Amino acid sequence: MEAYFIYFLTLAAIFAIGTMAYNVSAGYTGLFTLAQAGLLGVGAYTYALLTINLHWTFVTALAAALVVPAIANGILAYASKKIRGDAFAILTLWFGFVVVTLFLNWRGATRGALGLNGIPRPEFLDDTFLFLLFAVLLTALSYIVLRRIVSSPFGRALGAVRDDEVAAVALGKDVTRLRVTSAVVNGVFAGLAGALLAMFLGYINPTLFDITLLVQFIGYMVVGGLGSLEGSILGTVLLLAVREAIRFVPLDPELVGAIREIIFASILGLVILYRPRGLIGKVELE
Amino acid sequence: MQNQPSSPPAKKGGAGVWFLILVLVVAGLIYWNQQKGGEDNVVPTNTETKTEIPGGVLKLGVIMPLSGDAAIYGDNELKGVQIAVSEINAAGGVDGAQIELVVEDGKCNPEGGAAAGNKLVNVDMVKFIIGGACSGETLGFTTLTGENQVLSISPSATSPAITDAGAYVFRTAPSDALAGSIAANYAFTDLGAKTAAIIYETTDYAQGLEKTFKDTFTALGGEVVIDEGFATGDKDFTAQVLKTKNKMPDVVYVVPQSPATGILVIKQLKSTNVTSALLTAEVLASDTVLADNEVFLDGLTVIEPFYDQTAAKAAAFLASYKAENADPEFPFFAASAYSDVYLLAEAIEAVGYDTTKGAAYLTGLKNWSGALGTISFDANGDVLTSYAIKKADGGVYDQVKVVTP
Amino acid sequence: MDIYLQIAWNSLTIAALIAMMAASFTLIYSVTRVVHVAHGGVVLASGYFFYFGWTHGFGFVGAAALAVILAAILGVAINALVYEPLRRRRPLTGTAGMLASVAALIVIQNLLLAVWSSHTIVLHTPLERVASWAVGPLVVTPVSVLILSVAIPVFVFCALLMRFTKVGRAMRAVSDHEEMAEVVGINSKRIRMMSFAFFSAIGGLAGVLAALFYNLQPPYAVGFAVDAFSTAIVGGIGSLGGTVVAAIFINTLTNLGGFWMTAGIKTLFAFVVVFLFLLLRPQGIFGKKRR
Repeated sequence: MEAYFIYFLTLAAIFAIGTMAYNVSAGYTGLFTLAQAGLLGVGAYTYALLTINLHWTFVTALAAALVVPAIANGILAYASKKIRGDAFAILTLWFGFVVVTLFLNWRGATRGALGLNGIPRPEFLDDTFLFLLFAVLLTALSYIVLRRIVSSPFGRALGAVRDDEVAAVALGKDVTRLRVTSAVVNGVFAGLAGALLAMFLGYINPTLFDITLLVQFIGYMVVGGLGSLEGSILGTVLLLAVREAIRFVPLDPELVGAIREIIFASILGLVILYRPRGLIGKVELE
Repeated sequence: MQNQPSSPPAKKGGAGVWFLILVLVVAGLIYWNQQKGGEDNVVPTNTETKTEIPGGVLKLGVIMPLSGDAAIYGDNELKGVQIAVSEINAAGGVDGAQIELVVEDGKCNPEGGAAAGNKLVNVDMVKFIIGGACSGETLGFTTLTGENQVLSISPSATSPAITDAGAYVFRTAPSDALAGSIAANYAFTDLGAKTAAIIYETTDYAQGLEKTFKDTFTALGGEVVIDEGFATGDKDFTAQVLKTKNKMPDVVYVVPQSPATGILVIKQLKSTNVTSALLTAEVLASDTVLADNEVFLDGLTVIEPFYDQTAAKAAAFLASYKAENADPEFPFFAASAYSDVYLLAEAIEAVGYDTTKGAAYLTGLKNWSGALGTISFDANGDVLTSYAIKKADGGVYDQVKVVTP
Repeated sequence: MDIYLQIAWNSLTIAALIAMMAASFTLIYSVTRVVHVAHGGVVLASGYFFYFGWTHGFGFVGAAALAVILAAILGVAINALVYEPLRRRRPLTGTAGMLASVAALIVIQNLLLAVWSSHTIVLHTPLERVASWAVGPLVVTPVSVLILSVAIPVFVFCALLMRFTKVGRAMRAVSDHEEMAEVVGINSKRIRMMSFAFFSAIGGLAGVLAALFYNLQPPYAVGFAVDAFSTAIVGGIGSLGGTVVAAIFINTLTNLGGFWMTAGIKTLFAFVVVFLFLLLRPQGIFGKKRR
């Protein structure tokens, strides 16, 4: 039974990193990107490909997994200079599709839909409990780093950009540079989450990173609350717990999938309607 | 915008609180981990006597996609499992123990399979699992099940990677590696095709077939002139179809993941007047699918694992299935799942509730007879089977040939 | 050369279908300011309603009518249950509405899954026994003719409606400036309801055609939503003409790219088309530079 919780907590820790990263972009900067699942995918595949195909070491592969999604997200954010709002959302959504398509079709490297098996993790992490500690420590570390970032003058500038872009420009803020930087931050931690996921599962394939995962992240972030890193952690743990709890309810197997999704969507919908700040968010979803 | 950094003291205190919380959490986890001690899910192998089924109830885990694109596989296979379970229970169960199913949604992806496996192994303490239906979800849990010596049989996971997935992993669906090359051989040798087009879905199953078909066909001396994939959920195949028409190859090998998609591709091929011979794998091989779509599928040649639907056990199973449900889209996979339950039941009755002995029993099991026909397993837990080549003619599939690799 | 003609014809047919979904989506946005992605769910649901009618003896036209009416009702229901309550709490600009719509889309898709199961439903109507016609080098299927002969009048009708009828003008008034419209006595809430009813019906019509052209499976809901949204953005959200042009543009380019290079990565071409396009003209083809 304990092993079950270890698994659950590890997954929650890893996803929480991804949610916090997402919040930096969407909650703190107001840049509503739909690329989050794709970013994790890039991080995961970067780590997996480098360790399996090119035999890079754990540390260097992990470092690469942080860099690549950061660059990608930075470029996307740069596009927000000209492409705004809904159009930007569509662009980032398609980025996610392209990432999956790339993994599916670049079979020489990624083995396409077959996925990558036997993703290595450093030996000292072979024990599941140690891996859990590792994940939790990384989550804590991410939290601390991100917390410092968003509480700094830079973070306050992000808030200014989110709340009133015109005013921010008037005050001399380089809005695009701020957005790009926050996107890079998002990318780094999303990459971390992706690499950890790859290490944890040991096997990844393109379908892991499709639109379903994106919707999960949106849920974790919005329910936890925008503009709150603590909220992101809380939202992730809570919604994952709900998903697991549903397993224990005796439901007709034919309906359980649909019911689970409807419950998730209802929670999201209710939060948006009646508590747009989420559980402990600081920013209202508008 | 108002002020100067009011925060240093508060921030330091804030960070301090969080650090303290972290230390407590980590300490708590370590303490809890020490406490849990030796509760494991590994049943020690007893070489002398037969291990009893705990509690007189045989808990059987099932991991299938119950949601998402692949839910139809999970649906068919789960029904096959349920029919087998009710039959066995009605006949007295396994060694007197009734079978109780614990079903989890694998979602046809590695994370879903891992989470489902995690619950079944660590919470429900099952030792035997039927699943997954998809290779992705199967590979998601085989590491965990291997570590815990949990035995799994998959009715439909065809990825070649599963051959090496572990000593406790079995499957009654043949590896992709074979069907594609049999199709290529048939096209080149029997149909005399020199050029071929492959239109395939980008899934592990179909990509595997595309690769083996292409490799074999080229090795035989043929030329694959068109090799086009399409994404799951694509509905418009204009580009693939028109490229094919442009080249007019001798044969077109269509590999969809689901019947409806396959029907769409063929519909679009035929309505553009592509006259090449059409070849496909088992997805479109069901008689029901053919009967419903006679207009489009006439003349189609299918290559599927040899499965005699008229044989007594097969026919009986199909009848039971149809009595309660709509016709199965994938009768082979449904029968495969059905047989898996019987295989496990037999193994447990023979060697007891012991997965190590069970794995040994299954490995090298030869000529077992069930709804799938005669099954043998090889040393890797893969099933050895023949293939049937059938052609659609007047609304029915006529068997043309049986190939035993 | 012949093959390009065929590509053009096929692209045109699909574009017409997508344009119907996208146009109805964009016009809903225009009047109500909601990014109603759940529209994809309404479109698909309509296909299922059509299937229901068809298999319960409604006849072809009867089933289509049933589907369209139910789609309209569904659209109005979503508005009443999700968007209107949301409006009461805040002015309904971007993200909240869109996310609430995403939630609604998920609910619809899974309700369809629960009721009709994951089995893909292939519709069999007498239409499939009608052979294709050869028009010169072109192969023309009956369904493609049906789609075009429905889509074109629909677009014309919408354009005329928006321009010349009282309701249409009221819609445009609400679209341009809601407060002013209220001042001159237009009941904007009623206009919104009517927009949802009418444009969901159009989406429903597209759904019926899609069911005939393709088949029915729950995951299509998201696909339709993404197509509609993307096409609307490229066309200039709120613009009917832009959507039609965008649909033809994206579809043809994607198919050509697939034909010349490899079709499996059509997604990549679509992305490049959308990306470059938005980079060069972020407001869309006929979009106005809004706030």
